[in-house]
Amino acid sequence: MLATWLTSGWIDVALVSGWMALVLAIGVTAWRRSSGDG
Amino acid sequence: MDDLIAGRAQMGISLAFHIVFAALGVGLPALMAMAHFVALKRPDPVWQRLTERIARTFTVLVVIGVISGIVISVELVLLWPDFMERAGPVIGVPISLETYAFFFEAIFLALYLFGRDRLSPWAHWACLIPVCIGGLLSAFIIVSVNAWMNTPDGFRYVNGEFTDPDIVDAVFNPSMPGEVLHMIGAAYVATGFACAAVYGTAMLRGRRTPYERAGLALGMTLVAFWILPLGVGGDLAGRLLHENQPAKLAAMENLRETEKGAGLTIGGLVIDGENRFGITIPKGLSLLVGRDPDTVVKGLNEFPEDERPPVAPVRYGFTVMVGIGTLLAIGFLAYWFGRWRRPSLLENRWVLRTLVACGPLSFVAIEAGWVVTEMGRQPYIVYGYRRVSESLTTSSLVDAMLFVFTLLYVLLSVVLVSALRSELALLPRRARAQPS
Repeated sequence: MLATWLTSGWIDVALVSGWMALVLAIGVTAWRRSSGDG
Repeated sequence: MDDLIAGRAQMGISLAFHIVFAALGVGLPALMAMAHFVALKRPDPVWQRLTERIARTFTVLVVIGVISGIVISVELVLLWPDFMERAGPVIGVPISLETYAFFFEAIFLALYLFGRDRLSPWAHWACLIPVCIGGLLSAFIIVSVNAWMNTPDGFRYVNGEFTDPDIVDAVFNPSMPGEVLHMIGAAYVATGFACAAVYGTAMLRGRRTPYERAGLALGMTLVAFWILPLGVGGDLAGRLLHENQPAKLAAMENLRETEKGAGLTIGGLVIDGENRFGITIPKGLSLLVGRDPDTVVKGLNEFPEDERPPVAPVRYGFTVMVGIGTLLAIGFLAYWFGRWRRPSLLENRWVLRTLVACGPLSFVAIEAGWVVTEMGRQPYIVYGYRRVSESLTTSSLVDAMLFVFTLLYVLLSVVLVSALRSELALLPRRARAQPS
């Protein structure tokens, strides 16, 4: 069951979108801090 | 030289040359958009200068990339007329659409380059969004066509002809997701590291102003977005090979016999048909491609000898790609750990040297990856249907074409280097000449 889900392709979609959202969130936070906005 | 070898060598040289520009054509618009965005939000001459420098570089590279792309389309018709004629009904439409994707990109690039004083600042910046989308679409379409050659779909094969084409099935063929994600990720990561390498080199030479640091940070930010998707794409491509092209996967690992719980061999050499001096992770390959340590992985001996890809180039290509990929991950981690916790790391010469090495090496990894993809499909041009040897032109001028086209690429390289040098050499003088 786990192997089926891990090979289904959804794991790839979840990993890629989750990673990009994380990098964006960290980038925006760092940007705001360096601009003195928050 | 044997005509088949000459024809394949010519395509190899052409694709190896063009892929560098194709990758930069995908990545540089994103870098430009990011740098320009920062320049608009924080009016700062450093970011304005970075944006202008990337735009000038991109413009020169687009010209050379267009020429080499046109040459490849001419070569496809001259060298492989049988392939183009038979596969044309299926892949002709996507290839034509790539032209439109390029027009879309080129029109907005022209608006961007010539619209600075005619458009509002944000409208000017927004021109870069279609440029990014156009580059991505081009990459998607061309890699999909290549994926179709690996796992052809969307047709009926009748008497040696591909009939009743279904273009959607052809484009969304089984290999497409892995190949597209892996290649687009590679294009962004390689471009990011190339940018980081340019400014890292300047820092190693002692120029450590905000300009160089900003260039390094810009490149590494693009790397940060795409390094994990690049790895996920590679992993997905491996799983799809297991399902659809087990002979290529077996050649990548030099797996001779079918095994349940096959090991993953990292590095080493192929000597007398066997892996030597590598590190083998027990059941690693089975776990990777099937997410189960007991997955059965087919070995090369399952396939007739005349249907096996050549092992050495595929295995070495894979080893080089994975080895460089590991170095890229180290460079990425070192830089961002330095930004997060240890700023002194960013001044360390060895860290900078690693980042500088990652620039050219990431393009070597792209080339090695394409060696795996293309050599691993041999002896087929359309996997399982048409062989490369059946598709070569009957012309007696293949040798001559190899000579002429290789000469053309040498000339293009000279033009590229001199154009880049003259464009970029003008930039600091112009910047100094402008009142601040």
